[in-house]
Amino acid sequence: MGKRRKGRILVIIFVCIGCLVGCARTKIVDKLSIIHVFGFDLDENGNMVGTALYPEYTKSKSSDKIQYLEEKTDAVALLRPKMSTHTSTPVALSKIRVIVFGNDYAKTGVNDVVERLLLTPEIATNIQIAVSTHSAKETLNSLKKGNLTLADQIKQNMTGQQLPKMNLHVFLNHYYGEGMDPYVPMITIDENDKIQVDRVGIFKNDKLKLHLDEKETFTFSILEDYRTQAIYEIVLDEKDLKEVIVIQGFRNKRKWEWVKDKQQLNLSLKLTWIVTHHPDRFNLENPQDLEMIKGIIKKNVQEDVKELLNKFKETGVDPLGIGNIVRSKDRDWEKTSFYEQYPTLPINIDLNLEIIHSGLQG
Amino acid sequence: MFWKKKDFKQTVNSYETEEKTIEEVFNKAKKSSDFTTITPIEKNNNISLSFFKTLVDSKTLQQSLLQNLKENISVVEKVSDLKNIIPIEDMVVTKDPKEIEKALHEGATVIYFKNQMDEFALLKIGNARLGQRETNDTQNEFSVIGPKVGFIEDIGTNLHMLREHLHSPDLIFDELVVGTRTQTKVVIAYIDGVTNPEFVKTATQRLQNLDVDAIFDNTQLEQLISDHSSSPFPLFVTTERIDRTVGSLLLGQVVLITDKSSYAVIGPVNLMDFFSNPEDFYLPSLIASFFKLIRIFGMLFSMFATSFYVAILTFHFEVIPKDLLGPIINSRANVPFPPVIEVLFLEVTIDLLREAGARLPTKIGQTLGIVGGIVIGQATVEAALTSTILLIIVALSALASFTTPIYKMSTAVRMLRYPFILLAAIWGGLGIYVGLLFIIGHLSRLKSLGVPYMVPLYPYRKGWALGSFIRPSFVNLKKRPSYFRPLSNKRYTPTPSQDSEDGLNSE
Repeated sequence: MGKRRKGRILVIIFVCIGCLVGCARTKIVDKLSIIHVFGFDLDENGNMVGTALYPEYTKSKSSDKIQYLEEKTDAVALLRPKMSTHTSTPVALSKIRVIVFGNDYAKTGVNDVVERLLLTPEIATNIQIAVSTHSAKETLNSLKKGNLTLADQIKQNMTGQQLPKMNLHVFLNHYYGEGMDPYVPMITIDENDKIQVDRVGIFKNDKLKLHLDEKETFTFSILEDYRTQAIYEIVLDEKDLKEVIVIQGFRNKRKWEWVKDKQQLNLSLKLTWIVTHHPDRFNLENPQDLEMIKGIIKKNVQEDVKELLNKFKETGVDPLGIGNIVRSKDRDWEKTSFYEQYPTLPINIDLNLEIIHSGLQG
Repeated sequence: MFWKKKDFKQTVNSYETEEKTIEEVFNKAKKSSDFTTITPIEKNNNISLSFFKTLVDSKTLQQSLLQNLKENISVVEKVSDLKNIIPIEDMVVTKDPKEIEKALHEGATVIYFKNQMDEFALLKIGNARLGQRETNDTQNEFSVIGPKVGFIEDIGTNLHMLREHLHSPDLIFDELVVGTRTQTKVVIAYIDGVTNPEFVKTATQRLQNLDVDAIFDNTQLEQLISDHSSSPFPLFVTTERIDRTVGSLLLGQVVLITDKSSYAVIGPVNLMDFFSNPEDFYLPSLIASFFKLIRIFGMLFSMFATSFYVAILTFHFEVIPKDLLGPIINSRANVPFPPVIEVLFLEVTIDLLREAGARLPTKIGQTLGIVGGIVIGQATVEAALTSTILLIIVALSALASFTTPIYKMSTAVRMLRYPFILLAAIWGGLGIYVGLLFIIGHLSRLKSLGVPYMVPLYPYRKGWALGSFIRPSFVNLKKRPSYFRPLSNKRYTPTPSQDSEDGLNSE
């Protein structure tokens, strides 16, 4: 008897399994349009314009057969279903590698996309988020001509070059965190119609406010990154080509100190750098010359840092998270009152430079 | 299960036709053409010899028996007088028809007087090794280093080899007869004062309760006395290696040896025993541990590789690294089936190859490897029936399954991947998880001779669990595993090194 009952239970289990299988939606990897880059724009009527690129791996092993999708809706959530009407296979968002905001859209505020799309668990957080100096549509159209390597391009620039490290996770932390503003890498289209990584853009809340120049980006990344390998140039004499000092970052330590009774911040920077090029009149084996060149660099950097901080204060953006730093040291911190005080907040900079070696560097 | 059922119908011990008289015994024997009766001496017509020609050793018959009989026939008046003239020690004089019949089938010659059929002399001159192979290299459990001698299909030789490898008065052989028709000898070997008597008792009781007509091999016997006969996992280690058998005897395990079987059955065992190999003990512990881990990894890989392929490609494409996405999709681009059909197709192909390879004569086997491996593999990919990446995964997992030293375990692993593939096709990663839960639940329910199958891991035994995954150094092997409950725990006492710190060459 027991055996028969067991058999019956087994049959029921298999029937259940069979029925439940009907409910599962399979997502077979080669039957999907796996989006690689997603762009967001606004058109004149205030509608969302979503653009997307997906590689057709079924045609080629590398990602050089690229398909382009464009769709207009009034809500972000409708973009994907509408895009699916153009494709033979369902559109899958979960492997998005880069999100590109058009310049105009970034300036009017990206809150809609962040709230409706980027917070869904389907989207990974270790992906790149960038703002284009053009519209996202133009950017994606020029990207389409090449390979889909935008994510690698941005990442490569973060590890090796000027940009501070950034991904969606950090972006969201800065976006929702108290006392800080998000910053993103900017991309642009160069003269050859290729995508170029173009320094850093800074948001105020959800609106793009600042686009730093090269020098400022360098300064920003030494304030933000511990290990940046950015290259920095100091021109001593405009006329003489040889009169430049080129330095490369190696290690940057910083320490913020909040003096509450004076309501001022002390920033001490400890920089360990490499001199890759210097005018011939300096002989770095000579301690006096070394001190001299150090003095020049220090003076320049100090000025740059001061300038950058002033720029932040003037525009009222806080990508360094100074508000957060003060909040962590002062229990009476309050957001509104701090940011009223922020433009006039005195910041003392103490710079300590060490040159570990000189010569050519790759 | 088999032995359990016997509880309520413990009845007959023999299904042989009951013989009554000595005439009936001879009449039945005469039906066989190899039964011979001779009257060797012309003068005395009454003296007769009956035997099965196929069973006796004709050399002994001619040289010792007949010669002595002919020379000294004059002294023989009664059957019991034969004892004085024939130089064969194994001689019994009896009247019992049953005993005579049994002896006849063991290769005895019956000597009697035709005119007075009341006494019979049984001379055991059987040739047990007739038709047995001489060589006893291990056929299926190879090792690069270490002894290569293995068991053969003769119990006498096997027991001899065991005794020879383990010179100890404590080694006990306990003989039983199993199989109502085949009357196969089964020996339970154990070390007195080490092996827990409970195991010996359990094994004896299961064998005694067994009611089968024939036992062909120890591996069959193993299933009949196993604790859970419906489990895919083997609950006893079957080995043809003598070093492995002796080693397990020394740990306090029980060994069963059956006549006409070249395998010894070792019990109780635990799951991780199946992944250790005698060679582990011949290699340095570090290297042996590494290879043991490789074997365990091989088992897991072989079980789960293809099911993960199915789960990931059907449900969780997100976990594929982006650089792998292109090659995977591209190789699957022209495959018309969903991943599960593709995988099943290739897995069945590999199993067909394996099965065919095991059945084919050795000389064709070589060709089959080429046909199977290269032609079929290449052709299926070119015909776009499977993807190249899958071909690699399936081939690797087939390879990995053969790293398990005990064949029965490796077949269990090979079989178990199919339910996992189906579960992965139905529920993806969740399905694999569900299957894993079932397997773990099943494994922790299993027992081998009453000892939990997962033992040092679950129930956890401190100090022994690590030894399941690596091969500890000999210093740490000085005790017998406590979970086998040996009567004496200590195996040996390692002495500390007596060399001087600086080495022997110091000034």
